[in-house]
Order: sequence, then C-alpha cells, then structure tokens
Amino acid sequence: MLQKKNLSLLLGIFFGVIGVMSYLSFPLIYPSSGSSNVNANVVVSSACFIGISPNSITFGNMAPTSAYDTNVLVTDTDNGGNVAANILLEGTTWASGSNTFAVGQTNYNGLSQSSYLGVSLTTSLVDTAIQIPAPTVLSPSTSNTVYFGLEVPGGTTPGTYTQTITFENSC
Amino acid sequence: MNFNRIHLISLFFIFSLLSFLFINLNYAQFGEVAGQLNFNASIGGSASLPFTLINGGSKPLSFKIILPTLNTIPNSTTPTFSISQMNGTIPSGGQLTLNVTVYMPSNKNKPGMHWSGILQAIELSNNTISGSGAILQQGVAKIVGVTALKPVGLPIIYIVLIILAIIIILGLLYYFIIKKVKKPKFQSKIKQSKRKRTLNSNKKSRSKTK
Repeated sequence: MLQKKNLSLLLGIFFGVIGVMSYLSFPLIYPSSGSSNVNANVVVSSACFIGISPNSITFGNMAPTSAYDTNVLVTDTDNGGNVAANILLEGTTWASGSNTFAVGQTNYNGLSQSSYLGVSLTTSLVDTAIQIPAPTVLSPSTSNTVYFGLEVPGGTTPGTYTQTITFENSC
Repeated sequence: MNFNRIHLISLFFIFSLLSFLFINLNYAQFGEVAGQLNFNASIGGSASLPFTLINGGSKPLSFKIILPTLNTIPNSTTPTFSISQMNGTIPSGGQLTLNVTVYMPSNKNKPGMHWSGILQAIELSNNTISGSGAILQQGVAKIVGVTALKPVGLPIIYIVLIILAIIIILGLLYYFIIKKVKKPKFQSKIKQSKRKRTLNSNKKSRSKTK
C-alpha cells in the first residue's frame, strides 16, 4: 500500500515538475516573433503666418490735392498655417522732417479701384475684414490682397514724406 | 577658352537658379498659435495665459511686443498687462511661448466687467525706402478679452478663522469639563463634612448614654 502511495506521489511530483518547466520554457522555445508596435502621437496646433510683399510702396511725385488711385497692390501670404487669418492694419502719420500730414490720407481697399476710394488708415490697429483662407495640405500657401491709395492734402509743405504701414495677421 | 552663346546662357541659368535658391532659403515666416486670449481675473488678483510665436522661416527673427490698450469703462479701473518678454529673437524653425499676465485692480471694478484690446508682436525689420512712400512692416496680433470675476478671499483669513473657531471650541470644552469635574469634588466634600458631623454627633450621643 505504502509503495503504491509513494509511487503515485512521485509520479505526481514528476508530472507537476514537467508541467511547470514546460510552462516556464514555452516562451524560451517559442519566442514571440513578429513586430512590436510603438504608438506615436503628435498634437498639431492651429497656427497662421504672415508674409507681405512688397515691403514698401512708392507713390512717386504728387502735387497737393492730387490723388493716387487705390490700386497699389500688397499681397499678404500665409505660408504653412492651417487656419484662416484676419488682416489688421495701422499706419503712422506722413512725415518729412517736422512737416506732417494725416495718416488717414492713405486709404485701403480689398479690391483694386480706378479712383481714390477706400477706408482711411488710422494710427490704431483695425480689422480690415479681409481674410486669408486657411491653408491646406494640398494648398499650403494662401494669400489675399490689399490695395492702397493716397491723396495729398492742399497746402502740404513740399518734401519727401514717408509713412510706416503695419500688416498684422490674427487667428 | 572662348565663351560661346550656349556657355553664356548656361551661366545665366545657373546664376538665376542660385539667386532663386538664396532668396527662397533665406525667408522669414512669422506666425502665431491660433486662439483668443480670454482672461478671467478675480478683482484684486491676476490671471496668466500663454502667447506662442512661431518662426517658420530659415533665419532668426527678431520681434517686439506692443501690449494691449484696453477700452475704458466709466467708473472702473482698467486692468494692466505684463509679459515675460517685451522683445527677443526666435531661431529659425523655432517657437517661443510668452507668458501674458493681466492684473485686475480692486478699485471701482465689479464682477462681470469686460475689456478688450489687441496684443501685437511686430517683426523688427530694416525695411527702408528711397524717396517718398510707405514702408511696410509685418507682425501677428491677438485679440485679448479681460473679464472681472468676484474677488477670492485670502486663504490666510480662512486659516485664521478656522484657528479661532478651534480655540473657541476647545475653550468651551475645557470650561465645561472643568466645571463637571469640580462640581462632584465640591459635593463630595460637603458629603464628607456631613458624614463627619453625623459621626461626631453619634459619638457624642453614645458618650452621653454611657
């Protein structure tokens, strides 16, 4: 009786050990083959850019009371952005040494005009309501145009006058 | 070596190509991360938000900041702004996040008051013009909104109040405990004195009977 019991106990231990060893050695004999996946992620933020061309406007020689048609083209380009941008504008007073004339003598328009016709420029930043469409992967560069005109007021002292116009894109 | 027409044309072509590449490889592209900056600042406190500028170009880009000039509201004190950097340079292909903080004065301001303005980042350029005309410069702008919220009480005041409340509660507990403990002692003393009296009277009566 005791011998049988011992035999069955030994067999039990033997198969138990074999089972445990098989379980432990399975990954070693059959290592997991193929590829492991590494998840990558990126958060793309919304952005807009600005690039204006040209970087100066020349109105040439103008007599007092004369006007330059609102047709001087400036292109504002968003190269690489992904949302629409609004064009904002502001300017400085025309100055030639100590002589000046008003910033509002310069006007702008979203469309080219055959006369002096547009919105007067101001010294504070103003939303022009001219929008640059959102660039896309297929069309990564979008732009819009602003046309400028100028009227020299009567009585303006002769001189070489300059002004600074600032373009700002907002999104 | 004689240059013929083909040589000249090919030289012109190569020169044009190099000029094109030089111009196009040295461009600046100033940008910003989209979204409005809406500040909710408690009266007497402040609030901060990030403003991220991007240089998508191939050369470093220098800029200056113009802080917003907010609209004025009658019978109020206009909030003031500060920014972590008023100017700087962004490397090519880089980004720079500035921290914009608004301070909400407590004087005259009420919850719900709202101000708006424009935060500007202007690219510093050396654009010039020969003769008369307009010099153009470029930048990015951000619409800024500021709303006043009701003032938040100082945590120190709350802490002081809590400590005071604890002291009062402990004081009351101590007072009542002392009272409860002292009363029985007093009563027991009275009882003891009464017992002594009765014992004495008993002794006296016994001695009298003897």
